[in-house]
Amino acid sequence: MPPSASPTDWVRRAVVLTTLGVPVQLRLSAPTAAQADELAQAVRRAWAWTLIDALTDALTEPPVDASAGDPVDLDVPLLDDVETTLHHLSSALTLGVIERQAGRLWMLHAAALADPASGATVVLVAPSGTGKSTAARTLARRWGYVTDETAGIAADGRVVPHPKPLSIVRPTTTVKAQVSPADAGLVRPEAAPWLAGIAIIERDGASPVATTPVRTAVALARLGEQTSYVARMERPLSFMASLIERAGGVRLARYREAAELEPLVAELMERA
Amino acid sequence: MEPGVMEPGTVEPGTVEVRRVPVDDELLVDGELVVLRGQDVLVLSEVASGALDHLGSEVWTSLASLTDAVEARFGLPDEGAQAVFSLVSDLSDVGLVELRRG
Repeated sequence: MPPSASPTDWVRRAVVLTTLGVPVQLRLSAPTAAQADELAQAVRRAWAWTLIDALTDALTEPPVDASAGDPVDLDVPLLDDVETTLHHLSSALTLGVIERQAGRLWMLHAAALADPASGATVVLVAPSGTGKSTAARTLARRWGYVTDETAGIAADGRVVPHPKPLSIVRPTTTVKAQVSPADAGLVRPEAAPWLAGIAIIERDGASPVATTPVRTAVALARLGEQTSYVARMERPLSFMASLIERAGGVRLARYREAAELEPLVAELMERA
Repeated sequence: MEPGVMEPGTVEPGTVEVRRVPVDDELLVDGELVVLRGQDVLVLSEVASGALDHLGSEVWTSLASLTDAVEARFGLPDEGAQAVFSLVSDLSDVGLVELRRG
């Protein structure tokens, strides 16, 4: 967030949630009670799938790693308006939880989709700004939405959800709207997600979708580029290679429209 | 970088010596060596992997000795010494070896 200090006479509200396996305490503030309530309501709506009643709920859940139990604590003063505040919050919160999980999870820049019943999860890896959100927004109408930003994968293959609001460009403003997954019509996974498949996606106009297997050494290089805090992991190459093997290897998928990736996602889920 | 160690791209064959730079992780996958240095993951060719095998990070190895080792392991074309020099120059450019004049 930009300047975290807000005037001491601002009205404060708290929202607690857990995402990417990390408990988060948001300390919201605004000049008036009405504005603070409006901000709190907007944050709760946007981050609805991550909300918890209290930090103790998150701290008593089986943690991915016990040392990730300390909450991220963020001050969230009202900026120009609620939309702008939500926009900055999304980045700050994501950076905060990624930093907290550095060295504990394999964190890929990826969209992830889960079979709602079995939890089998396909991770679609792509650099920022090249189609992750669109893929998630399109494909998570059929499969469960796990994330459109960062897939956190534990050594045992669990995929830790980061179901952040979707950032959607609106023609009337330069600030991306933060839309809750429910408001975007996405499916909420019921079963715990686990790694079933990995694909690198490239939106280069190929139609029909062209898929090719990527040999593991090259996959490590390609996925390493899209990994947060790769050097903080313990034996990162072995960690990643083991999970690549568990996923049955990595595919490269060149495509034009996100909807055309459906058969690939279905195949990777079914194979698992 | 120690005194005498040459900047990548500034070296010429002659009496060059080479040593490895420690990496953060490495893994042999289906015969290909993958290394992590900083945030970069690099896949090395079989010959580059073999050359690194012959080098230590504490001791300097002469280019002539390295050329002999690579030649014995892989065979080399007539311009072998130049080819090995080109190889270590590339490895120097990506930070996997250091070069100095012997």
